[in-house]
Amino acid sequence: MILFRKILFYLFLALYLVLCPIIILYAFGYIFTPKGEEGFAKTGLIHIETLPANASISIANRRNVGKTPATIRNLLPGQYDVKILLRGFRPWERKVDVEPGKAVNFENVLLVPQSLKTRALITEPFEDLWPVPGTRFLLLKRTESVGDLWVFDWKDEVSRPVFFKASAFVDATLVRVFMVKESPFVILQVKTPAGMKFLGCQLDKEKTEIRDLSILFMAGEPSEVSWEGGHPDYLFALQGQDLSRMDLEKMTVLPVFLTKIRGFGLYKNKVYALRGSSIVRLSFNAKKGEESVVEKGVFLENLFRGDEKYKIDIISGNTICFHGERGELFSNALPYRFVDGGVRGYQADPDGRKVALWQESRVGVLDFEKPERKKEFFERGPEIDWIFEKGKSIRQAYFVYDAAYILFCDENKIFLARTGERYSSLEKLVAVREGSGFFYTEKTGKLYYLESSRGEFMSADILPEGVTLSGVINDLEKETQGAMK
Amino acid sequence: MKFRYSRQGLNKKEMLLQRFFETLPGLTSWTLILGLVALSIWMPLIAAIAVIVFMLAWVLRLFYLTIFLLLSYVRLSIEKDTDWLGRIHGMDRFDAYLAEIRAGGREKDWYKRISQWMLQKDLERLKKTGDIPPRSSEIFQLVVIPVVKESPLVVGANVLSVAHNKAFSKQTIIVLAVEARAEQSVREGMKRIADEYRDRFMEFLVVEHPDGLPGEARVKGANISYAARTAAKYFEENKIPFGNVIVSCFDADTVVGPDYFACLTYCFMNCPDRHRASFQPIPVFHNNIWEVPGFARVIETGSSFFQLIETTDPERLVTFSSHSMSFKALVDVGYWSTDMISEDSGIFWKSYLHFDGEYQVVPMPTTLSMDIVDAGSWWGTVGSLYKQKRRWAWGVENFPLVMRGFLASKKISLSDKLQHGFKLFEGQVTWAALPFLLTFVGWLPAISAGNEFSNTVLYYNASRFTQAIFGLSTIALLGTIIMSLWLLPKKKKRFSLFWTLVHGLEWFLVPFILVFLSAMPALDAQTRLMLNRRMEFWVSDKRRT
Repeated sequence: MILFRKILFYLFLALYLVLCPIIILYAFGYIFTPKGEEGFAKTGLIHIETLPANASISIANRRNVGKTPATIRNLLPGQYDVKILLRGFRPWERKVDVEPGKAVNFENVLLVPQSLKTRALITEPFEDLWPVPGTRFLLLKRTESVGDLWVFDWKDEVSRPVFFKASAFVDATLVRVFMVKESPFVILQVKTPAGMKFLGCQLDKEKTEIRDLSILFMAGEPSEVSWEGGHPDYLFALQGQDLSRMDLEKMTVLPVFLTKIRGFGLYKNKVYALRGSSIVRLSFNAKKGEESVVEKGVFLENLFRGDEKYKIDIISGNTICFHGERGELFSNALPYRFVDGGVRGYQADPDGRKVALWQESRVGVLDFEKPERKKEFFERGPEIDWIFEKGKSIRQAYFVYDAAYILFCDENKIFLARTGERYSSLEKLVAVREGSGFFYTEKTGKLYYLESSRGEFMSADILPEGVTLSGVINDLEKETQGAMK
Repeated sequence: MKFRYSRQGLNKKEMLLQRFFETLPGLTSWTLILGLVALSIWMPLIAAIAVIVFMLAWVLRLFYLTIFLLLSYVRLSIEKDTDWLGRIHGMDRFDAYLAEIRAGGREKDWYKRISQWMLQKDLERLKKTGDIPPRSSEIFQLVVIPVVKESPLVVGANVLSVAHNKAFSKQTIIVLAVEARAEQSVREGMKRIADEYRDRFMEFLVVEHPDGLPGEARVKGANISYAARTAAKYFEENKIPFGNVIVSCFDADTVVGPDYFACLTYCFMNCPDRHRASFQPIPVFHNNIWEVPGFARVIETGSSFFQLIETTDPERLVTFSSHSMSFKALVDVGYWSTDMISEDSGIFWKSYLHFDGEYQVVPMPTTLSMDIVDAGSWWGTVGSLYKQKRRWAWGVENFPLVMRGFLASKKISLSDKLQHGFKLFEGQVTWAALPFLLTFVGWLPAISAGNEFSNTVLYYNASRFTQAIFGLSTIALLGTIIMSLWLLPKKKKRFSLFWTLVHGLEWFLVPFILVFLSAMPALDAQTRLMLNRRMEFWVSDKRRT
């Protein structure tokens, strides 16, 4: 037994000593091809996951090398034509450069159906569509008259006019809509024969609650109105350089709550404002003049030189965006000054880690958590990945499928582009009514838009059924309820 | 070699060395675990390679050990029906018996044929050494049973099982080593057992071990050493040579088979250097195996398997739990350690150093059964098992003593020192660290991978390799499951296929058990030793219904 044990021990030891380096080399991608020119070569691999799964993969001339999700190993360095095919879906093709020891990762490849599954949600024609951000509501405008303004609940797929026929404001003309994130409370600025009116609308009620807030806006038309929560206690309105605080319970106005400011934002019951080149902060219920300076100095003076106005948007606990009136986009994260002008709008992902932003001709992604390139002398911070630069009039964008894609509207067409790929090939999805807005939510995986010819309100399935979870919708409801409290 | 196998009374230099070796196992285990966690976060590439190296070693080791588990099981099966008594009587007339065996006909049964072949081999070896054993009628059995809180029911079953070895009962001296600090009811219970069974043995002593003797800790070793010293006086008074006495130290819950002492006596007689040897049966935990929760069943069957595997390596075998040895050797080395918890393995190392490496453990091809820890409730049993395993793992206290002994010894060969030292050290570190590495840390490089690492071929291949290793280890696990079902006590086995399946599936608790009831107590013990926070002997909860 002792001898046998020793023999077996040395046998296993030899096996280990032989296997260990072989496995480690193989793990690094080394293979031996006795018939090939390379002999001992370091390979790369391609990893592909698609939605829906089970699509067939072809690489170079090799057809059907696997079904997604799949990892295609032992690829000698070089360029490969990768094609993914699934019946009923558009083919997905890329030229992929495989480097030795490296993995090319195509996670979250979304296969687009040959013909999108669309559905008319309201067959009447509409002129425009405005999503109320972070809520389940969309506003649909048929004509300039507020009586023709509809609200659509995409969770329950029900719609109704915002105003009753008997409402005194039903014939008023809609001038402007003020909305904030995650609040089903919106303010409509309308024009009536009696003058300009400001109407607070609580959309999450079975019958929209309308409240005339015009008395609070006697000082004139604000350039910006903002609030926090679904049932706000205060509104903050910017007129010129002065910020007023409006108490909705007492229906009173504190006219110069903050003065000489260049923009403001709200976060957790506090007002953050840019005054000169300093950031000041003040509680909602503070008294005039109680503001404290959060940050100031030469650095901010250089960043906010000039006298432009900025919209301050706190997109997460760590990240603040400053959107200037000339389209500048700054942030409190390196490199601070992301775009010097022309940004028409931006949309952050739910975690505030990524921002999709668009200018007239291009759309890009800013990933605040993208690891920095190593071995650089200066710390640079993230850069914007411009994924499409040949647009004519880009006006909206949304992240799709866990930010793996961007859905954006250029002129009257909606496109889907993959993020993380510079100059990604575009998938044209639908045509929309000229100048109208659109909406997409991961919660339903649907795109909501106005059809191009008649303006019918439509939905199109972007994510296959079964991917979106009703649990997510419940989460959203909780969030909305929380915001309303 | 004169070596004081204790950490007491050391000079400054010795204490420094002792502390160094006390720190080493715990420090290594923690370094391995935390080091690999740190590597996974900051250098995932290196961590992934380390994981491959560990995992490959582990899976090969698993297969290697499974082979020996199987062989050991076969060896046990071969000797299952051996007539040990017949062999002993045969050895009493050695030359004639050897001639009979040499001339013996071929058995039809393969197992019997192998058994016969091994017997012949053993007898030939013994003849070659010329060390003919004493006659079996001149060999006496001393059985020491320590008692501190065990119930008379448990100890009574132990004594009764010894009594069932009828051929030896009149050559057997039972000593119930009762702690003086034990409750009155316990002490009285032991006296009742003595009264009940005294007539069936040569002598039945109840020895009370006084509490707090100088140089002693409150450990089992102190109690049984005191009892053995009392027995020595008895042997001297009755002019029984120590060399003709085999001492067996049984845990209170031990139950031996009716041919246990026949097998022990055969092994003793058959061993050429019988006074430089301990005799180790295979402990199984069958007494209450169907009364305890599934996880406890799995862990103790695993302990039996470990011992089964260990018996295939007699060169490195160490005494564990209930064991036997020459009383002469016990007296020569100065009895069990009186200040150590792990006196079972300690006595081997103490003897090994005392006899300058000329000491061995002879594996006995028989089992003895003990109780699985049972605290009466699920969580209570988890807690008790944890404490029991920590006590077992406290065997790490031998490492610094052995290493100091090795450094002091000039006669033990360097090769033996290295092999024993490495096995002791590696065994402890593997026990504490490997389950953590396999269960959690092995996955960390993949989980904590940043973009840079997740875009490498290694990232994909390492996780594929980890999955393959777990697949392979499942094969080994299946082998273990089958063998565990073979080993279960048949009479009490719940008969239906359903229950067989359930008991098989209990083995999939292994990852949980490995981490929480094996590695964690071992790491706990090593950390305590490292931080010089010494343990006291804790008596396991064992119930008998």
